[in-house]
Amino acid sequence: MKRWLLERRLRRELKAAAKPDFQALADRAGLRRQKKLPLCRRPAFRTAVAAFCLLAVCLTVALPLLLPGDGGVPTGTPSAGYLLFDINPSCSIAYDANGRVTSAVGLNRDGEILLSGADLIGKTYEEASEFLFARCLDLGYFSPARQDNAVLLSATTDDGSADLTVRNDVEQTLYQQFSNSHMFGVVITSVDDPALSQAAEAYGISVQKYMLIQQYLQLGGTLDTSRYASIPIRDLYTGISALEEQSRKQLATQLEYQTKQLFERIAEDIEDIIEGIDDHLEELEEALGLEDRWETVEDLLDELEDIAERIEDANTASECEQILSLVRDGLAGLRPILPSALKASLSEALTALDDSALLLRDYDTTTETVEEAYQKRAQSNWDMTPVEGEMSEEWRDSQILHFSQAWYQLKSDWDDDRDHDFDDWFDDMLEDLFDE
Amino acid sequence: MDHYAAKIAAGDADAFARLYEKLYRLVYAVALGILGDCHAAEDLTQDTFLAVWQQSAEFRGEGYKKWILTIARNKALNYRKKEARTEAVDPLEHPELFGTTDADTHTDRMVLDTALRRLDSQDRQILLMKNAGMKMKEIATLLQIPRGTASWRYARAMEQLRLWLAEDYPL
Repeated sequence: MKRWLLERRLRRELKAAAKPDFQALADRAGLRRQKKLPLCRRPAFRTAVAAFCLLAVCLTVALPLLLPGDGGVPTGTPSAGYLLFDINPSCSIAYDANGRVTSAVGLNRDGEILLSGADLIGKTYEEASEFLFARCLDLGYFSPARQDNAVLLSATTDDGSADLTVRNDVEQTLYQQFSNSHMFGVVITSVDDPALSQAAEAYGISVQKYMLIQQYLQLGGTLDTSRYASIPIRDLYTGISALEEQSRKQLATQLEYQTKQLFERIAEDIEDIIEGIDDHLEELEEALGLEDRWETVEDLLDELEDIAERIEDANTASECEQILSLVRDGLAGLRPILPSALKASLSEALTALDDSALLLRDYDTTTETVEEAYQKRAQSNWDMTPVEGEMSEEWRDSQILHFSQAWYQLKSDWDDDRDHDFDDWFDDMLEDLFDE
Repeated sequence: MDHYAAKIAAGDADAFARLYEKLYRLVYAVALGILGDCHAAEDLTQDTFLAVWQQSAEFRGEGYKKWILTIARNKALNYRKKEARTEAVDPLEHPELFGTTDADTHTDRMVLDTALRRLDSQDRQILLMKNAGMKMKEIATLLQIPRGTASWRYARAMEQLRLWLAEDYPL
């Protein structure tokens, strides 16, 4: 049984179990009800608008680093070595003992874009290199008009030593590509950063491996310096991927929690607003001596309050906004039939709802970006099942239908009331007013 | 709701009747959540409203609804302590306490009965108060727990209820 159905059932059962008996209480307390006298008072109206501190700026910076794209993870085939292409984009191509590609990974956002949609598995590393060159040309990283086309290249075996054979092969391939494209370009096979070179040399490893280790450490991994030389490149990649995934999950969980908090606050604020209108209506009825005059409107407000509660169960900001929109339309539709004294309150309520919708719109990009990334990841090599929310289209349609039926019933009742003899109604009111 | 306080303090029985109608289910839910017994909850609800009628003149400031619910809660806790009844009664063993001996009616209240029977006291209170119409922040204030705690306990209670219902009332 879905949660909202369970809640509905529980409410019904609770209502049936709670049997008010005012008469028994009145007898016990010695109460005697008086005739109503009209009063004239105007209560204060409370409007609550949620304010929320967003992580959007942090996420905008952090997300590109945390969202690996296509290219996935190393396959089960053991890799003999890794080619590192650094044009900025940066990519790593793993190859087996036969020189066949076993995986291709973007090391930064541009690298992911470069490899997006590429099917390099099983191709030779030369073919992969040609592919990458062509892509760089297409995307403008290389250009015949430029004199500074360059690629930093290294090839490292699984134990961290330089694979000179592969490096030289790929270097030749790339120079051939530059020549075929009539471009000036240079293939750099060492890093000219003295500090990095020195640091790497101190550990007896290549600069590229040193840089990978630094990336791993920055993501929160731990690695004893004594293992710098011995740790295989594959383990470093696996570790980096796992840490990035963990970080993304933490971010998603944190965001999910904050999103739920926001939705809960919005739902409660809307319920307060609707309750406020309901209370005012009741006070007005009391002031005019017209008990249950607007009972149908109150019933509809109860319906809207129930709908607003569903915001707490929304999974995304757009779902929340849809429910908000439904409630807003419902409230706006009450305007023609609400007494004038409440129209100002209604306007304030609608403004508060619009403010909440704007807040959600700003929030929307962040949550849905993480959600989309999560779904995309789940569809690739990772074994994750997307979480399905209970806010299905079917449910939404049923809520709209239910609300529409209640709305049409209200309009029908109002039309009937308009035909009522108002002189009789007014006479009744006067009688109540002056009757002792 | 604060506007009722002055009227009731002044002896306005009609206002009191309207307040009773508005808050009965909520007060009942508070009492039922603590006591786990429908009959006791009914009695306690009446006692609470009687106290409200008699003591409204002493109420000051804002938060009349919270004041009433606090009276209900304190009375329920005292009642429970006095009766030394800390566990909910199994409705299958004592259906008379749940106001019915009819098997069909008992099944009609399967969600409520399961909640009363199987949830611990605080989860039960949160569940019933939320479904009686209280806001999560009001529940958190009344129970003096963080709002986030109230929210996740509610979610957990609903999930447990769903599983128990599937066990106890398989389709």
